[in-house]
Amino acid sequence: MSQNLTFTEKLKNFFISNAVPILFVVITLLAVPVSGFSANYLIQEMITRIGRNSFLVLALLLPILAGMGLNFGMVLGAMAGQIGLIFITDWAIVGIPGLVLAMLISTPISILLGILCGSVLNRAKGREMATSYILGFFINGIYQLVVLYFMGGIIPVKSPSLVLSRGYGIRNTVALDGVRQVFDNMIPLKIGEISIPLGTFLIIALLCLFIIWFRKTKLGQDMRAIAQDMKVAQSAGIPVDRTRIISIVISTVLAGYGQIIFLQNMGTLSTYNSHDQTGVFSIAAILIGGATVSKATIPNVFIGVILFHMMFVVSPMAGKNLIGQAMLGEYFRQFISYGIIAIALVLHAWRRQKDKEMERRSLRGVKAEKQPQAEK
Amino acid sequence: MKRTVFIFILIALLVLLGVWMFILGRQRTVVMRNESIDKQGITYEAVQVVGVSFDEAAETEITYDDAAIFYLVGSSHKLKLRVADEDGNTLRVVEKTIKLDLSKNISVDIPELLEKKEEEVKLTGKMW
Repeated sequence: MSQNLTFTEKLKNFFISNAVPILFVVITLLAVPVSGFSANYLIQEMITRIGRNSFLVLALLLPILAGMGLNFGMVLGAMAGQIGLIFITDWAIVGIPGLVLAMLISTPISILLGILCGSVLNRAKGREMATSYILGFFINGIYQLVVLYFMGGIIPVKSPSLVLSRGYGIRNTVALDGVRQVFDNMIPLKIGEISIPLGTFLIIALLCLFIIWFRKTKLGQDMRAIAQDMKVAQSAGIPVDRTRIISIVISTVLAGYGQIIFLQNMGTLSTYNSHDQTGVFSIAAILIGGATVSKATIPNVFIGVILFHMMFVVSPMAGKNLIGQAMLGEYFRQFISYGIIAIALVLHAWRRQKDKEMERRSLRGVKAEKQPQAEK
Repeated sequence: MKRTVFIFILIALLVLLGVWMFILGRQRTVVMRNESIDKQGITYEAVQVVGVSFDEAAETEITYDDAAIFYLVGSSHKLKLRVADEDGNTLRVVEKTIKLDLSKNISVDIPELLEKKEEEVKLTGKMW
């Protein structure tokens, strides 16, 4: 069908399919010179942020593969990761063993939360994104209850640097001194003035290989079949509900690991806020990278992380230089960041509508397509 | 049945890995005190200046009636104590191998440690 399209139509399709990344490339190209940042600084920032965020964004791929859309429920995994970090900080486990232990602690919590999330989403087929978003708020309430009231009381947490002065509840900020940038500095590498977190990159590369391998497995193929048509997949004997739950469980577990990697790079855990924006920012990044609710690839992840975080870095300074006030620069950053997420989602909806229109037109056939043009 | 056994073995292995990571990564807060103390009727007098270094790391000087905190990971460490006078002249150097259990907070009285004749000293403290 696509062979019948003219060059103009192909070009139009390309712009429609890649509207979000193109828009961001244009905004970035305009904002970078205005910001006045040096190339070295921007490269260093991008390398750091790819290491910090890519794992979290990669965690979104499997639910998309299974046709469950963008998993806003990944914040559940992020909370599990944070619980792991709170425990290792209390037990004074440092270095790589500390991070591995945090991941081990987060795994069963993530699995349980993933099963819960998957089960709820199976009852809300077709409305997965909104449901998982609201589920995130619900589990956040439970997380706050556990961390603010149970920890230090029912759950033994003894470190005075962690527990609030009243004797229970975790402090607002937890310094992760023992595990700060441990993965990043695992294999030290510096090219010129730019330091590269090779250890973290290796972990991300391993996850990419896992995803590539997983897509080829029976389970991966089942997920693709479910994404194509759930009823047909069910008729073919694929356990649809179970497979969907597995995809959410894997995504939640990976989100927990991703949050641990994110926070080891930051070096500080904001107990009650760190997980808040995890889902939204990761989803915004993958959308900016050219992914859709139904299709996402590994390159989408990296393109998205680079474009989204480039905007994050340059927009405050660009705003400051344009408006002349540092305070307004920060507002500009917020405005650009959230505005961009909104644009990405609106463009995504618009693209879906265009795709549907094109599909309808292609079904009508070439003759029918030419008819309205002749009338004009 | 086979699947259940596999899951149990996997869980057991993960728990063992967790325990291993706990032992491997446990950081001990060691407080080295250079204070005069009485223990079981024996008085141990603090020294004027003592230089403390673990595992060939940079030395930290602790003056009379003072203390310093060290953070150690792992159970076995080489401890070097350099006793000096007020002018900083070295009087003697004592080297010991210290073995730490999994205690989180360990307090060490340097005057008592200096009098110990054993090459290897086991130190213990509070678990949490």
